[in-house]
Amino acid sequence: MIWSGENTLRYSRNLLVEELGEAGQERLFASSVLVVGAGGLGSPALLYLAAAGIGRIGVIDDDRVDITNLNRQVIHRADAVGRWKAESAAEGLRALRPDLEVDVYPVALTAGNAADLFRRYDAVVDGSDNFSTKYLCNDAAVVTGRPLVHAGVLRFGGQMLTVVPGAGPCLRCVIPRIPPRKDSPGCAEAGIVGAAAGVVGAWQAMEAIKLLSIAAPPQGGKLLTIDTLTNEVSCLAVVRDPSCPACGDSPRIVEPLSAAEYEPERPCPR
Amino acid sequence: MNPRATVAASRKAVILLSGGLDSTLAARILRDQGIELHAIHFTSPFCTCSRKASGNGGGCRSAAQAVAVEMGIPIRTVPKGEEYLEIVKSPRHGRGTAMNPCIDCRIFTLRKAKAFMEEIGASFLVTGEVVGQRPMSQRDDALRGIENHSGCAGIVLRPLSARHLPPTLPEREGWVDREKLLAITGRSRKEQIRLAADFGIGDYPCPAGGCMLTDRTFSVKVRDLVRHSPSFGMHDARLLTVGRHFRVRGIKAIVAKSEGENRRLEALCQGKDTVYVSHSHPGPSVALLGGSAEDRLDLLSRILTRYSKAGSTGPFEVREISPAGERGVTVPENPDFKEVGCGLLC
Repeated sequence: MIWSGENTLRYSRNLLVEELGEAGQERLFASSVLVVGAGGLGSPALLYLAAAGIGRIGVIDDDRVDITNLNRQVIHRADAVGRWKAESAAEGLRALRPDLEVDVYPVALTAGNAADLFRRYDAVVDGSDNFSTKYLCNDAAVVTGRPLVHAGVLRFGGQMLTVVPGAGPCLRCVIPRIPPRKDSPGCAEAGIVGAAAGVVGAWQAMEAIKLLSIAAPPQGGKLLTIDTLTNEVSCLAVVRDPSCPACGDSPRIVEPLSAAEYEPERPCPR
Repeated sequence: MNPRATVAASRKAVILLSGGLDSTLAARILRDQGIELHAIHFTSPFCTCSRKASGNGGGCRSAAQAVAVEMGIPIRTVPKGEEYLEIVKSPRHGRGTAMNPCIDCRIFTLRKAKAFMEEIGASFLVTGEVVGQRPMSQRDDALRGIENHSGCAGIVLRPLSARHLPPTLPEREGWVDREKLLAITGRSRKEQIRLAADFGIGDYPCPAGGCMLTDRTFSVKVRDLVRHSPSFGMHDARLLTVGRHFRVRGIKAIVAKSEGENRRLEALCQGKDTVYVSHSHPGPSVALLGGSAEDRLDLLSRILTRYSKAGSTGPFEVREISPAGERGVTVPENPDFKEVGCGLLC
């Protein structure tokens, strides 16, 4: 992107922030982010990433917009019900940023395509709705060296961890195995207040913006839990596990990623 | 990404998808041959479809995306941007009957598509071009020249006309079956419409793949801009798509033609140019760029007299909204429109 009168104005409030400034903003223009899932977390994350001036954004989602999504998936309008989420989200992004390059992937993220896709971007935001995809994101980030902003959200709160491969723990260092289904209800079972997804998704965008603009050192190793019901935010320091199956000293999980590693989970949104 | 299997590079191609019928058919033909397709789509302020679209700037952007997504094909949308405006200003290979720089534009998009092809590890390009359909860029000698200039010689497969063209890399290597490709030529769309019915494609919103630069009337405004502001940018380009344009006494006047255009013009000018919004009566919003303050208000009184809703009488109260701020302005009626009328571009 070129500095013109128009985008000097458009990003003027970013430019005023000392940590970001012109250099940081230029890094954002030149950067690319993949957002996995255009749902409750992906909606705010996508909108704030686009608004911040990221140059290219990829959206991967193989689901269609359902009326039960609309309490939280704010990038989709009511008339998008029945349409592919990736498509509807891309339209929302372009309405906000006509100059944005958008990649739409109307497919599932799989062990077969994840690493290849991650390599096309500078960072990945995980807005998926099930643990097998979250672990797949983690492993693909580790094998490709791409920073990943992991998060999950339910009812009134959620958690977030920025994974910086080679410089801090990954999701498997904290929870080595994919939690069994009975311990991981989705939004359709447990419910969610949409604004909670908004809080966590926007925070994920913030993480990616900081990483890509180099406004602050990467905040790896801090597991955030956010409870909007009690207004309690906790930050748990976590460390890399040398025996971690993904990022440990002799990892089990290497390329090519194996589908067997990610047992299927029930999808969340219906 | 094909979730079923990782496909060898030789079975992977990039399709230039406009969302119109021809490129949609080309995609279907190649997909049916088992080629893993990735689409790339270009947008520009001069696309006729995005002008028709309501509010959110959807138009043919969304058509291309809808076509791709329905077929399960990933699609990258690339706004052509400032680099493309340089081509519009001075095309190396000349223009068509209007301001359309088709050949340079095609070289530009093929170059971008080739870079995307290399990025994702695909091995050839696919387009919906039909030999002889477009007088400028789709003659077969033009097709070859464009390929050479974009570094794409021999790797652009055009499934709708393939059997009229020399075999391309994927045909020679046997990755696609040339015998199953078509031999359409010329401007008739009969064959495509029949194919669409075969494929069950009922809805093709962008049949002529419209570019405003091929429109002679629109081109009058573009030519004027190139002459008066040779280093114009994307903002000026977007302004071309709204309202009637006049050039009088060094002033560029843009007069919105409908309520919707009023809002669009005001939004486009916000923070950049001075726009006058009717206050005391129903009338057009008017942007005035350049010239002296005195001349601008004189011009405004004539324009408002001419274009305000029938029955409106002066003096006209308007809000002047400029980057410096907002204030009320009153101009008298002035029915002398001759000079302004002569400055009408279109």
